[in-house]
Amino acid sequence: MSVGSYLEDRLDRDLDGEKLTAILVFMLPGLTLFAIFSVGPMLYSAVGSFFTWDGFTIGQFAGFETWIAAFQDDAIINWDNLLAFQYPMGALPQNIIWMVVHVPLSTLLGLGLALLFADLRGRSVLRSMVFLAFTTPTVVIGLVLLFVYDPQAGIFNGLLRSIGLEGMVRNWVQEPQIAIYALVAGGVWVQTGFSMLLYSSALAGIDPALLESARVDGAGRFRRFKDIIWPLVKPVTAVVVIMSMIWVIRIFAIVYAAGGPSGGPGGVFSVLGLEVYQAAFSVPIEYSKAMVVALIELVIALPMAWYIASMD
Amino acid sequence: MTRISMRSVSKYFDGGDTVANYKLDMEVDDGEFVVFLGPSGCGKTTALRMIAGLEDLSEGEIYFDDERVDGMPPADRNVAMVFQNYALYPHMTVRENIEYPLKVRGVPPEERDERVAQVAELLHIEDQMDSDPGEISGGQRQRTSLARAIVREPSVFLLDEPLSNLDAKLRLEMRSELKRIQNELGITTVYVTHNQEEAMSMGDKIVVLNDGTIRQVADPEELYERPRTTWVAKFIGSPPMNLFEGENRDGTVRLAEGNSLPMPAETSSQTVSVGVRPEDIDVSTEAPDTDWTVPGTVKTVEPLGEYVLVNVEVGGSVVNVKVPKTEAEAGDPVHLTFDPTDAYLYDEDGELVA
Repeated sequence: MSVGSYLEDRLDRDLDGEKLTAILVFMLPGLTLFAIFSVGPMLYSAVGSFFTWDGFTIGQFAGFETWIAAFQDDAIINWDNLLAFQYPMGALPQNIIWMVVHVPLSTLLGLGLALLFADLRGRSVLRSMVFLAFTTPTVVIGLVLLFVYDPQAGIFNGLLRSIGLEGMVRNWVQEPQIAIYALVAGGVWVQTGFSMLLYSSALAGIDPALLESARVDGAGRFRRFKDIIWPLVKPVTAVVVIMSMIWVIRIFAIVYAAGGPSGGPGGVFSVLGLEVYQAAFSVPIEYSKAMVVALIELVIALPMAWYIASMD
Repeated sequence: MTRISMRSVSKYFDGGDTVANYKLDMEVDDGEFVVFLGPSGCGKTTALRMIAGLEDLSEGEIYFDDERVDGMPPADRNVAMVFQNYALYPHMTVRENIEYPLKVRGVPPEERDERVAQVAELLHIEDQMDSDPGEISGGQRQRTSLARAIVREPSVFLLDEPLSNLDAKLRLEMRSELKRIQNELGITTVYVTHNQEEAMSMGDKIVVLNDGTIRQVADPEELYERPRTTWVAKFIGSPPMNLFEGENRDGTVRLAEGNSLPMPAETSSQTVSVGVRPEDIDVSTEAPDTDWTVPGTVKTVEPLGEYVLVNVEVGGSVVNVKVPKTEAEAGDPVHLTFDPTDAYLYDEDGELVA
């Protein structure tokens, strides 16, 4: 199909010149803002990533030089460690691992809690308590995690001691091979509140007669969940999954608070956001590297944002 | 098939503060079509839900034949239920909806297909089988939900106001359709409605409920001919029965309007009320040559084609009269007469005397 006939199909047949003008006039303010604050910076960094930078002044055209350098940078991808599955693997793989662990956990926990609280007395109090973590600034969450995992005073190690696992006690955020999972747990704690809230409202939207009908039809608890609840909350699952993927790809404050600008010992839990920050704000300033890493983030997040926005 | 017995079944909500049902005692015979009739909030739906197993009993027992079923989950009672809003699973096609109860119960696919095809034919929805519930009309949704209930060959069929979301014409159509299907299948059926026309036209037996208790159990004719209390009398019929206040004067009835009625008052209570159906009253503008009349003033005249409804004010209350035609107009003084043998006498507690 040619572009022309496609457009003809999509455009309203009653659309005359006058109407078109009106539509454009009304869209102008919105489009202007969108262009200045969204499209502009994206194009700017897309173009800028192909140039050398001297501080904040644009230099010479460098082609893919910065891109190639970024993918060879151990801080972004540490190929040797990645193949051996040894931390640090670099910000990009670590960010993706974070996503792979975090998203299913927070989604399922959120759904589980929403189901658990659905028919409970005092559910609004319980929901608020779980959701509280999501409203807390993520920097604070990072600090709280430091306290939680502290080898002397931390509640987590205290718990291990109390159940007789003295040998396990350690500073969890300083253990290279484990630290990232300790932080992921914190992220899950935050995101569970969000997915629980979305699932709660989706569950409240299910007509109780449907579940009663399924009960009369002979479906037990599990079948009611599998056949009725799960298909009906599917659209919400899509939103929850993608929102948490986007949340993880943008993650910064928790990591910064827990491990400083380096992202833990040797960058074992460094993420893309942290690398952008490092490249742009610490000496030596590598502006083009910051742009490249930011663009990698964008390339991962954009299709998901597109999917969410185009959902019915 | 199945006989249902409810034995002093009560249901309280909010720790006993709200009484939904109080000591219901009744039987539904095998293959019978019983209608629970009552105004909204009378506890009829709660009673149905207790039979279905969707609501626990606070007191009492429910038996299907000789088996005690209260405490059993709905799935084990082999009941099928049709909900007021049909409760079709929105993510399944019509076919999948109908098939679902069979699938859950592990019926093999070939048998499933066969039975689904059978009920689809019975309910004339063969052409909609692959549509989504959202794409079909209200009547077809209703048929689908009936099909889903029937396909399992349940021993008890429960319907909760199934026709109330349909328009008037479809409601009439589905009413006879439902009756036809129930006759054909002979399944014991409990039907809940607040619409007395539905109740009268479909029920083999009607259970009139109010304030959570049973007011009368009777077949439609008896319910109309011999309403046992003034409450039932005023509830059944459209417009309902007229009640005249009166006194018992040494065995005869004296109306508040000052007339003595030539009817015996075989009761010991002093105040009585006389009930007369609107169609049993005559209205005339001239005094008839009987020795008693009830005088009144015409408030409104409603010509409804089939009959004329005359609303007459008598001593501060309105009496409805149904006549084939009348010359009376609003404001006219009129005389009401009726054959005392058509009248019902209720004692001071509102119980039927004769």
